[in-house]
Amino acid sequence: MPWALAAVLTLVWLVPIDAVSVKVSLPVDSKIDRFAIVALVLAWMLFGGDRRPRGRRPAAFLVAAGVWVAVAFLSLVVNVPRVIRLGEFELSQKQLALLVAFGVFAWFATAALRPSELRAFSVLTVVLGTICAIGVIVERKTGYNAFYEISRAILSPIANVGPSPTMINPDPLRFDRPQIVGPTEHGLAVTTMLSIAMPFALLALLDARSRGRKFAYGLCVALMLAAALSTERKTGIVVPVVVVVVLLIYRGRELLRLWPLVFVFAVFVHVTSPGALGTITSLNGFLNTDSSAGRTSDYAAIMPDVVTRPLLGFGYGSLDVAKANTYRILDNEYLGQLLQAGLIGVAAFLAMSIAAVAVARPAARSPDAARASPALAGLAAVVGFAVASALFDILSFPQPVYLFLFAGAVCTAAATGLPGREPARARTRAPAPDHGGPARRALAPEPQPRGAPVVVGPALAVPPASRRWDRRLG
Amino acid sequence: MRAGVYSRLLTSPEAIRLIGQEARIDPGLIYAEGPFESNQPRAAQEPTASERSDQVAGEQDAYRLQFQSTDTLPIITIFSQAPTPDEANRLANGAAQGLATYVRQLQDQRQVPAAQRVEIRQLGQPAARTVNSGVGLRIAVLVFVLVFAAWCAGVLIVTRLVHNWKTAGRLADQGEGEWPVTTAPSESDPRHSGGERSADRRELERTT
Repeated sequence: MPWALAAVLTLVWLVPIDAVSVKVSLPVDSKIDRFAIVALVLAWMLFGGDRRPRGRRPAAFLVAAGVWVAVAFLSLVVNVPRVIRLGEFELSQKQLALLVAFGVFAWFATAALRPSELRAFSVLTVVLGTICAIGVIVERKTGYNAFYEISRAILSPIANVGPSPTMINPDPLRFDRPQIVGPTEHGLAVTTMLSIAMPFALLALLDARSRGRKFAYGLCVALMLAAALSTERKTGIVVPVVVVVVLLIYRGRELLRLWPLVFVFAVFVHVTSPGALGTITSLNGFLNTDSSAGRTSDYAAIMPDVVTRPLLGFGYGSLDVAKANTYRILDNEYLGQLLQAGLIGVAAFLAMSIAAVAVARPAARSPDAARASPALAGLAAVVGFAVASALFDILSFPQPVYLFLFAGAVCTAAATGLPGREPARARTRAPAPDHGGPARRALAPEPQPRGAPVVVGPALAVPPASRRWDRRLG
Repeated sequence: MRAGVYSRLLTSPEAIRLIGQEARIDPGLIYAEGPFESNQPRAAQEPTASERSDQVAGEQDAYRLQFQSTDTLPIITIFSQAPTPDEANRLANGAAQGLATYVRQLQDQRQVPAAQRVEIRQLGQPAARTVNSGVGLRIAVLVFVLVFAAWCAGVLIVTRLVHNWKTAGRLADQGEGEWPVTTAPSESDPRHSGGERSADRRELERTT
């Protein structure tokens, strides 16, 4: 099962899944990722599921994802007459199919990941993110989009691959910035993907002990940063900054030790992607730009819809942006969810991020290095996704959503087997090491006197009555 | 250019009333929109709050008309939508005849000379067909999926609830399922370690 998950992740990172249509006629979009999801389910059925042992798994993230899917279905069922009357049912149907694919992927990733595999999947994420970053940098320099071209060459017998939207020298009357898209259809999507991979690389850099590994992971971070800035999108700065802030909260002391790398990264970005650093200056007057003004004008313009259908919106997936005279392109996914699935839909969408963060927090503070770093990386990726959702219509691009669900699954796997509720007294008794992060603490545990409570995990010194209480709650 | 003006005229309440009369449809159930400036930048095409308010109010209407015109040709294209093909045909014909009637009435009122009058002519008969056949089946599938998912979730929740209930009952029968004790141990209860210690102390005092 983990291999199947790794294969899908590779597909998401390296193949422009929303531009590849398999040559099969279906009532829904015949995009290649839908086939991959079906293959996951078939593999699950063929092998009788994942029978490897696993500990107690927190269900919050998966339940939140399920609730989000259910609310989306419900919003459409409630609004079926309107959606049919306006001729938007076909679109909703396709969007629901994609939503189901998201739901199945979330379930599969959560079920297939084990705590012992988190390190391997972290490395895989870093490797795939780095390959993607190299492709984006090459695309910016040459205009050659390797993801589209290689996919077309390989998949041409079974699928049609659309043209790449890449434009390194666009008509200034039509586009104000180059279109650097990587394996996606928009620069914002690839920027978010790289931002999701960045915490995995940064934490690998922090945890690396040999000089060679440090150099390799540092190079990966620099490449991802350069690629994110290459798209010349403000999101390429905002989301990585948010990710770094989250890491600073948890492992600030270790991260701050790396501050000289900022200058190295700046030089590296300037060399590999000349002019990309200029994106930072575009943040000057962030709230006064045309795109920011467009965002704020959305608030008033959507009020008639919000007031008319506040709870469940006008039906998930029925926001047809092709109808320019009817719907606006909302540069904020929360507004999009508010329109389509109402306040309940927004709450359900946001609850996924909150659930993932809540699940990951105890694991991120765990002294077990195999859990702490992936949990923290997943947590930072989820927060980055939540912030990116406020900056553009992120659900229009499937890749960041798949990676977000993967990050949620990483959070869940990292928390699998951790005790659910740890008595406060026991936690305060645990000595707080005054040096190193969780990873280093686990690598070099402090010697304990004989007979003292075992300080291995948060489950120390739990009285028998509380253990029974925990079991009953479970 | 003039076609655009007449298209806008067709969305007025008075014109819709005439269209309803011609099509034998309640004008209160008809919603008309257009023409749209499709050659404008997207930002200019997107609806403002007031425009969107009109659209939202009209979403409930089952009889819908959309008018399109170009700057270069004196032609208005009419798209109609109704619950049945026959009604859609009647609505499209009614729109063309309604516009002709409306313009004729206006010219009569203002006594426009015959040579300067505008003549509205219908260039062809509308051809209606069903565009969402099979939608009933798809809705049935959608509702089935939702109900099935809700049923599965319900079964899981109830099964878990029953299992936990039985487990709790079994633990209570075995004397293990009490709520965690939070009261301070009593001095007189020798089962508690504190009680045992004080009993031992009293025993020690007696012996000494």
